[in-house]
Amino acid sequence: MNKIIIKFLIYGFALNVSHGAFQAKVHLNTGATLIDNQIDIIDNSLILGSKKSTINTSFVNNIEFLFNDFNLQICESLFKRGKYTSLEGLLEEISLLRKFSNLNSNLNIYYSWLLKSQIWNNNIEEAKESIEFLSLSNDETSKVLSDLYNVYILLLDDDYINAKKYLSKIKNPNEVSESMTLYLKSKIDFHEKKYSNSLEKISKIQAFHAQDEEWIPPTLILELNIYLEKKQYERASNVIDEIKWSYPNSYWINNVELLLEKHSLGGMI
Amino acid sequence: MFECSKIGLNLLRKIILIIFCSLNVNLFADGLTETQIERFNIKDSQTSKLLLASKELLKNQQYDDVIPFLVEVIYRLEDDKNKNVIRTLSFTKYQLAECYMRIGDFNQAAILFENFSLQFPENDLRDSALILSSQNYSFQSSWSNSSRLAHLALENLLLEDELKQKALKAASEADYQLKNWDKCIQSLEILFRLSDNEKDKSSCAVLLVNCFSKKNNFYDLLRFLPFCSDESRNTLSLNAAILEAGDYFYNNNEFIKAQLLYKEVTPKNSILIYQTNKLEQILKKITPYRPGSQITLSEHKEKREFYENEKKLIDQKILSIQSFKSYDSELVFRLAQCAYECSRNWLSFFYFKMLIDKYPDSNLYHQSFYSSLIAMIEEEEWEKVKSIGYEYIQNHIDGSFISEITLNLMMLHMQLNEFKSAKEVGQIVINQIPDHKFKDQIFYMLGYLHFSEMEYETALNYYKKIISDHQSTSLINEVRYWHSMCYLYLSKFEDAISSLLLCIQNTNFKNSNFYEDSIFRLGVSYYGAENFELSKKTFNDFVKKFPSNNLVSEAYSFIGDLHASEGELTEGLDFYNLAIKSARNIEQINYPLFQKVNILKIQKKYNEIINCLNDYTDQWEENCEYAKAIECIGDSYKKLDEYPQSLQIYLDSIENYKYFKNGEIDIILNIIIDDYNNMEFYPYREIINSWLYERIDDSIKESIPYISYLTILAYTDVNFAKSYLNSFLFNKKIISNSSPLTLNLVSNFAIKQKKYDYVFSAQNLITNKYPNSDVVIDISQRTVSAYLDVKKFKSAEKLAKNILENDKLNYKMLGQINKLYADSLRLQNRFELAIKEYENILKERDWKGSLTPEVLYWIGISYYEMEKYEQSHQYFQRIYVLYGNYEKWLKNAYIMSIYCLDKIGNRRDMIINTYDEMIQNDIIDDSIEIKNLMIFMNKNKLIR
Repeated sequence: MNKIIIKFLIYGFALNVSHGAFQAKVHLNTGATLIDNQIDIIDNSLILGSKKSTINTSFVNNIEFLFNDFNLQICESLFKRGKYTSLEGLLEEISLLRKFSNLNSNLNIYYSWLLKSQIWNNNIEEAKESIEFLSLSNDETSKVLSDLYNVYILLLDDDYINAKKYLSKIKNPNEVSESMTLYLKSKIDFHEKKYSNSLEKISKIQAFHAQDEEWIPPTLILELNIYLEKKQYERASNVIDEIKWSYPNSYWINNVELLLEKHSLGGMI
Repeated sequence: MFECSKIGLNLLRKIILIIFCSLNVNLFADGLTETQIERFNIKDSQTSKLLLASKELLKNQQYDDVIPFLVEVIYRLEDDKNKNVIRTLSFTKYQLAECYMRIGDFNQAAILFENFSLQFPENDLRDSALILSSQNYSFQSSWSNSSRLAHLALENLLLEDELKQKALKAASEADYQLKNWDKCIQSLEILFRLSDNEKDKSSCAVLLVNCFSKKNNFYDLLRFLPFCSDESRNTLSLNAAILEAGDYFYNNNEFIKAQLLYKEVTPKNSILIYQTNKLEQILKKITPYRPGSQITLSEHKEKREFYENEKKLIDQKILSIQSFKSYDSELVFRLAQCAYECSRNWLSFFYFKMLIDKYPDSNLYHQSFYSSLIAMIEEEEWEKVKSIGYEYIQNHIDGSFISEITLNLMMLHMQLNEFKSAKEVGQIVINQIPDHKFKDQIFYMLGYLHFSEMEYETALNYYKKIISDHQSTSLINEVRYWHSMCYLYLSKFEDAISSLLLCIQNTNFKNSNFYEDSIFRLGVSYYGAENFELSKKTFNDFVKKFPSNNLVSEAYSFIGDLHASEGELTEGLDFYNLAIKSARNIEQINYPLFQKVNILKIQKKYNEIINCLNDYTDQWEENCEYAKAIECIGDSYKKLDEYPQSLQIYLDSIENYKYFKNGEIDIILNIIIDDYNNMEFYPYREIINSWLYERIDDSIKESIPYISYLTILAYTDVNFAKSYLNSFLFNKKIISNSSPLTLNLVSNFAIKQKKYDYVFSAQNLITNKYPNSDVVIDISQRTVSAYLDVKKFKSAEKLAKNILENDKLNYKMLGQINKLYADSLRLQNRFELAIKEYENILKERDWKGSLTPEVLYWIGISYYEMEKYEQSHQYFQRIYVLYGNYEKWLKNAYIMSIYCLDKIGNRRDMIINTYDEMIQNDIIDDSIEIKNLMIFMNKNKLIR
């Protein structure tokens, strides 16, 4: 209940600021830059509201959106601290700019943060919309990232057969996120009961991407899952300790509890 | 396995001392100007003058000189109640304390400041006095006084921030020294919040990390770290403290805690990069003055001076970081150790790998290789273990862990039954690692490997080497045992006896796993040395002393043999019965049981044989020596003149075909075939036939009994062979269920009928299912011929060569195979090689006979193909001169001789003579070869 109210408030806040809560720097092919805080797009025309001028989108090199309430540092900081709900609420505003997906802009970076926050808030339907936006962008990295999250969603539904097929078709996923790619592969291995292969990849993430705030916790959960499946309870207990101390009172602890309940080990934590 | 090497505790203590000094350095920052003073007669001067002089002296920082002035003033004012006087008195006392402090008499200063605070509790300087007293006590390491006074000052809730910080610093230092961790943490946490100075914050952070770790307060420590600034996180002192905290938990076996702390440590190299980046940022700001910029020249100078000072500070920091011993590889090593201790072996492996890849110069480099190998052994990732091991051998044959790694690698190969690889590792040790630490173990394994391969002399040499060069090895008992075993298996019984006696008489050996076994082997050795009395005695002692030993049954068997061989059949039977009774497995039953049957045969107790073997087959079913037992039962019935019972038991056994071991059903089939052909059992021929047909009718088509009965008929009933064999034999299912005898039949009939696929199927099955069968060579020979017939010359060559290299038992047959091998070469136009092989056949006495003219003929053909007609003609000539009774080759030799003479040229007369010789020898017939010859002769007008 409380969560819903908080979300409503955040969304309300986001809706209030969405009108003119940003500034758009429109960089034209000529080298000129136009700045406006009202911007729209109809067919091939970019309409700059306050100046009531219209530009054909073919003259636009790219658009840089500057938001009043957040920037990339804020997004990063919120994400690092695990404030996914706040981040998602804050970035809700950018969904109003979805129509600019065909133009080169910095929106895809914000959309990446939005997608990540939706994923970790378990708002999968919204995440799929963000994936769609990123997959339409001209930026190759954003496309690959959206593909990778698509695989992640397939794995959430235990559809590892399609996840494996989909992942194999993504070109150079490691270049976008080696840790995420390794995680997805290790999760597929887990579903295929190739536990040793899975552990190898998990350990690679932990050793070589120890600072990856996003993928270390799910990796630990996956590692725990393997030990529980293999009934290696001492190893499992060590991983539980690590999660407990590294992410106290977090979403991840809930995950641990669910896993333990699944294995009828409720009292272990 | 792992030992955690600590960063020196002293180093950390030094760092902490430096931090405290830096916290207090402002104490001495105050200063006074210098003036001239007059000389005074202190006792006689007026107080006002004394005060004035004191003031001047203090201004000149002549603290030693001013003390008598101040003491005199205090003396004069001490008991006065006047408010102004009291104010002067308090100020003077404060000054006196400060003077003592300035001249380094900290004890006096501490006492005077403390007295001041007690005497003037309402004075504005009371808090300062308390703090100064605390600080002076700390200079003398009087920590409890220092702590008491600092905390007294902190009781004032209105204490101003600057003083509060001083008090907190003094309190935390004293409490730290007194190990009052809670109090210290409390002070440091407040100080950390109050400090606006990055340096102080960083110092607090270091001390807090230490206090948390000393208190074993992991949770607060981990929670605190994120609050530290980037600057703090990039200081050596803080990271050394976290490292030590990690060590603390590591040494307490709290590996996850240790690991989480180690993960928080910033590597030295990262700190260096951080400071270098900072320096670069500063350097960018140090720019020349640009007229027209928005600041004045003096403002610019001031800024520039500030940045240059900053630069100097960072330069110093970088220098000190560079001079600090790197802990980066140690950090990775410790992370790996933590992971290993938590059985997270893959994680451990990757950390070790990181160390190997990133820090090749680290002193932990070689150990990491070994540790990563151990981690993978724990994880049972054998291929990974091998790749690590061989990588190390390849790149670091002189590495410090080469002994450990090769030993483990060899042991792994042994464990995986990869004996060839194990031997190769052993050879690497012998040839390339003269100073191997575990040579005894390597030799021991090599000895064992050679022993397993029945290379007892080689094994013996290794054991001898261990005994002579590694007398103190922990493996000495095992080595001595295997040393004796080598002698025993080499039939050097006297040496075996001496060696075993040496083992047994050694008191240490009594605790060895091999002790009981050695006594048994001693009995065997005496037996081998034909010292039967001692052998019997040893076996009897053995069964008495170790009645539960696994070898007791075998010892009884030996005793039974010893009695039986001396004609003591009853005793022999008793011991064989004991051997059967105490047997632990079917193998231990088989030997005494069939020995017992042998005695019963001598005693002509055939019914007893039948009964005991029936019990045996009923009890052990497919695990028993079924064919042997059935053969013995059948023989016994024959001896009792009850042949139908024998036949019945043979045929029944075929129904129990699952009890036969691989292909042994053929023993029974051959017995029936032999009986059928044996004139002794001639009267039973009809019975044999009719029972066989009855059984065929009752059995399921294509089943093993069905195939077996038909196979017997194929060998016994000529009519059956002619009429039914084709439909019966050439059936894939029949072939797949066939025993070697049937396969031989298939192969034989198939090649005659040029049904080559069946020849190849039979070959395939015999080599895969019954590689040791007697008929393998027959079937293989036919297969080589079949290959030649279908022009698969390479396959023929390969198979023939394989037989020649591997089959030494059927030497007589090898002549024909050798001929086929030479044929395969000839048919590939490799004539010289073919001739060489043919010539080899001619050299072997055992292969003489019909093979000789055939081989001579093919040599002739080979030379003919090589257009060496003279040589070719000589070989053909040798056939009709020396081997005239081999008609087939005689005719061919004559024909080819004529063709050779024609090719040589000008031999018309010789051709005609040869042809005449053919007529005289009645060789001319209506064969195609002769017809062709006639055409040739007519064409060349050679017929007279």
